[in-house]
Amino acid sequence: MLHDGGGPPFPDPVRFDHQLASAAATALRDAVTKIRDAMSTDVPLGRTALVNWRGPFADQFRATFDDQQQRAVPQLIDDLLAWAKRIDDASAAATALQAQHDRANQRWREDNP
Amino acid sequence: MSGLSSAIPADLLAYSARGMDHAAGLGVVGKGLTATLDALNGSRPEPSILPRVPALGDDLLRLATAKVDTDQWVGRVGLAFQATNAGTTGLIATGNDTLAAELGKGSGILDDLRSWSRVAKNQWWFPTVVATLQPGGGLPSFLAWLKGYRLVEKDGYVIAKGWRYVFDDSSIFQRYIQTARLPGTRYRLDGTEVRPFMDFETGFWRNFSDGINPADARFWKGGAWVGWALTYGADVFDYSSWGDHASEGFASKGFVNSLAVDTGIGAATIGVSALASAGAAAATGAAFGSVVPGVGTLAGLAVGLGVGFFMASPVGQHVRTELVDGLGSAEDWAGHAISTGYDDAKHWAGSELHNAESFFTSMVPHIGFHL
Repeated sequence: MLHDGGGPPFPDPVRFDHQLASAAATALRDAVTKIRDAMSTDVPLGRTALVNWRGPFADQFRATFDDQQQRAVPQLIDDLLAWAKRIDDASAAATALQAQHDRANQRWREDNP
Repeated sequence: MSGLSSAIPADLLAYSARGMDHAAGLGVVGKGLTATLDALNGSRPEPSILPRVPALGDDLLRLATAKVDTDQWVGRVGLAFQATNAGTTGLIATGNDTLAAELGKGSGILDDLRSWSRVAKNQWWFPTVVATLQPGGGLPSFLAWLKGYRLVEKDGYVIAKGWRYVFDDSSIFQRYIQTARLPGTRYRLDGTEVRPFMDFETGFWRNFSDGINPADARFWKGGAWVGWALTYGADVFDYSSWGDHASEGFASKGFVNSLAVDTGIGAATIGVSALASAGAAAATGAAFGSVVPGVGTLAGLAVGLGVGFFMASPVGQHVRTELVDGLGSAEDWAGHAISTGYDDAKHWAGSELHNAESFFTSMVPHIGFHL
């Protein structure tokens, strides 16, 4: 934000909490790890259950199970990973923007000793 | 609904038990993620750099909730198959109508029992409530202290002072408070009647023994046995033909590990409660210049209630599941180390340690959030 008074052009720091951002990105990736860990056991067990399971209840479960494994879980994992990356990118962008502001402030100080 | 259905019930029950455990864990992760993302959004990062992060924790929680419902239902179908052919193991074929009728019938009491068994374990608040409320327990002792009853140390003796005359009021409440009084007025400092009040170490061991030692009469009087009976009873139910872990059975490693983990949780809770109890007694004794009977028991009650509520919460149940699974991994690791040699085991241990680190790293914010 440009300053219209007599001070440096960017007196306020860029509003971005790197610690919270890092915690959020880590939590998103940890959630993905937990989902994958859970599915690595549940999917084989579900498939084993379906090998000999026949009848309308089996059909009902197969539809739910397949939807969960082929749509809901991969979609959620994609979203979680995409946002983890987006937060990392934002963190890098905030750092770059802050550096840019710092340089502009420094130039102003040199021009206005 | 005519026609036939078939299945191997043990396969359905195995999927159901594992699936529900995992779904509960994912629910906890979802709640923790919600808290972390809320904190980030709450810091209002520059929108041009990072827009508001969507409620992905809620999405995970919704997935976990749906998964619990599905996995629980699969377990009920497995039990319905079992019920139609009692005593048969392996593949079972039955009429769809029979199965549907069994499924409808079995959903009531058994589901209630399974829900009950999940929260009955590690309810260590019960013994502390009994120890607090019973005649001679923490509450009447504290009320007696408020009425002026004091145990004061003097010249190697403990003197009981104040409110010495019994039956000055014969109301039920008065008689209840009087149960806290020691029968005499002067005791040797090292006497068994008063030493647990005066000495931290003796107080701790006495409280600990009350909770874990069946040979101690106070174990039965104080209600600790109820806590153990509920815990072990729920474990036995879980691995019986009707429980969440029916497919694993009593001969399984999971059953042994559940008993071991619950024994550890019980002993640790009773130990911490005994520490709080003896510590509070010593601290108040030092602060008031005389023993404040009952305060220790009330401190133990607070710890017992706290642990009880925590263990009944989704986080507590998740922690317990992870401990049982972790114990299984540790046993596998030990077996692996012996059979394949030190180098292989060291490599494997590295990855296990990494997993454990990830687990604890992920648990800390969740526990903080729930508390």
